[in-house]
Amino acid sequence: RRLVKVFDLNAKLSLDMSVQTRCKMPSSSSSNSLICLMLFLLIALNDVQRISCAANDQYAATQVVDDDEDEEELDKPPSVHDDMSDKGNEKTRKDPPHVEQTPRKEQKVDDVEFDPEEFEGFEQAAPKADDQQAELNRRMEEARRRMAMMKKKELWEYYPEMIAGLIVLVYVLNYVRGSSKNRQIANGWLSVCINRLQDNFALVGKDNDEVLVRDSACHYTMYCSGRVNCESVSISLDLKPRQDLFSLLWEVFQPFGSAKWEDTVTVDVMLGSEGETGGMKEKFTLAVLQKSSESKVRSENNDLESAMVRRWKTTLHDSFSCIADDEEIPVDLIPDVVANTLNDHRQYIRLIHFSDKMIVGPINQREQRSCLRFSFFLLPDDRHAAKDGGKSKSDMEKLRTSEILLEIALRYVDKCASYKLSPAAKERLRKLQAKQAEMDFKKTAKKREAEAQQRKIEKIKKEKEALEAMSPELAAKFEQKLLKKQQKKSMPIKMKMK
Amino acid sequence: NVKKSEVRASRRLVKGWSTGSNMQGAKRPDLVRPYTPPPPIPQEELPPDYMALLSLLFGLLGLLLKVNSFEHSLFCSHVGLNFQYKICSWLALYACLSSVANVKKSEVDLKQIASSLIFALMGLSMNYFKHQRELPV
Repeated sequence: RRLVKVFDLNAKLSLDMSVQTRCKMPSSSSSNSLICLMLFLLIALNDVQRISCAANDQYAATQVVDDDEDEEELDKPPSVHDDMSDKGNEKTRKDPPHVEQTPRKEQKVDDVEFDPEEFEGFEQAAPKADDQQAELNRRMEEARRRMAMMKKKELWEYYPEMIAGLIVLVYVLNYVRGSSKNRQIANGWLSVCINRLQDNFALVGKDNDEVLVRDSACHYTMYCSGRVNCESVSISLDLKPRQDLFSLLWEVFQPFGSAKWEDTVTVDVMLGSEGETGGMKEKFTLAVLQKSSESKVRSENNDLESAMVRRWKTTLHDSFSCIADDEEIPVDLIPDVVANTLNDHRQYIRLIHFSDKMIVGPINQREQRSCLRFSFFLLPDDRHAAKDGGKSKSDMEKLRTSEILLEIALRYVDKCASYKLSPAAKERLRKLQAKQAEMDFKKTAKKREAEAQQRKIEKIKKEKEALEAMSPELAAKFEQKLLKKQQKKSMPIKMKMK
Repeated sequence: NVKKSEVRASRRLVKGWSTGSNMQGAKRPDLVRPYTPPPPIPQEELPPDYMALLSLLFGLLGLLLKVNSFEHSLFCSHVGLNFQYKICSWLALYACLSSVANVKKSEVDLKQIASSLIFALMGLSMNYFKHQRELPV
């Protein structure tokens, strides 16, 4: 029965193999997929070999069992199953083979009934039988387990697989729901801001066709151009990854206060250097950011990293921190009027950063240019405002605030283009820049020192090698030359001392 | 609608501030700079896609960690330990799905995703079809 089953499975295997090799592989003809295919075949072939070995072993095992059954000393095999748990127990092992015990006892008592010669060498045979008994037990155990494993699993026993499949299904559903919600938010923002953008820019969108470009389920970008005082504006919407279930779960289990994903819109205004698209006439750096994220923003931006850019006091709310090169800049560029508006919508403002040395552009095309960057939150969490007695706003209401903020951004574009620093401020900035350059120079000094040291060592090495390579006569000549040189060097010093 | 008055108020504030702003003449078709699409990022400079890497790792684990001893599996709950080695392949599939969901058009790395997907599916098929025909050695 077992043999038949084994060969049956073998037949099934060959069928499975043929089905799998006929499976369609993805069209990408990369070397990776070829390697995968080869690995797959190798493993499959390995399995075939192993299974054939296993089949042989199985057959051998059955053979041994049959032989054991024929021996006189042993009783029927089924009774051995009951004593499986007491394998190590000597007493129980002696129980089934009653035939073993009684002849020995009776041999001593009654010589008539049992011929001692019949059981010659029985003492040697008894341990052998015990060993074989143990072996038999083990094999029967194994065989039983194999039978149990080979037994076809009921459908309900596949519940882990069902749960895993369910998770896949839930993930796919969440993807659909999350990406559609993100698209809704993006379109909502666009509907609110499109009029203002079209009033200000001649070209909205890549080619006036597709305005908001979908980069991924949670990233949308937009390009605008054709305005005085700036070259172009690139707007990117970075939304929460609602389409990825695992990101959402990760956010839930994150410790409080650590980096959370928020829906943000970043407006990067690229300023030209001259002419009507020319932006900042002066070179300065200004940033308004949330106090809690100040260190992070500073480390991310090269121009804000330096300690020359200091914090100044403004009429802005305490949750903001305003940093700039010079004290005049925040005073001029953030008058009370604007500060009040910013304070009113402080939950929506993430970062306002003006700089002439900002690094912008895609990863492989980074460039440093003067740029104004405005980063706003689209849908901030205002539950605590609601608790205080105010009302928690709906999503559309929150999006309407982005229109106000966009207007502020555009006003700043014009303001920065016409902004002029006072001569005193310019002087201060110049000194600061000189100081900064000095500090940078000092930082690199160590590096340059190490390089010079390295060059010296290499030079000495070369000279040594050249010396060794030379013949003895040339070496003598060279040494003479060196001596002369050293004398010459020491000579002027003597004269100076004189 | 409650917001409209607030919007108008803030607009008045901001308008008062702007000096020399010519909102009417701001839009200039002659100053349009046409959009230049950024060049495609070469494979070496792509940011690492951790989910795809994770899925490759799990896929390899799922393929290589085979159930060696069926005896052990029967001592524990009959499904629990048996599923443990298959869970690697399932995790590989989940990581692959996650990387596909988060892929950006500008930074797509098709080879990585394709290879991780292949590993995950192969791992799953090896684990499940193997169960039918594998015999413990």
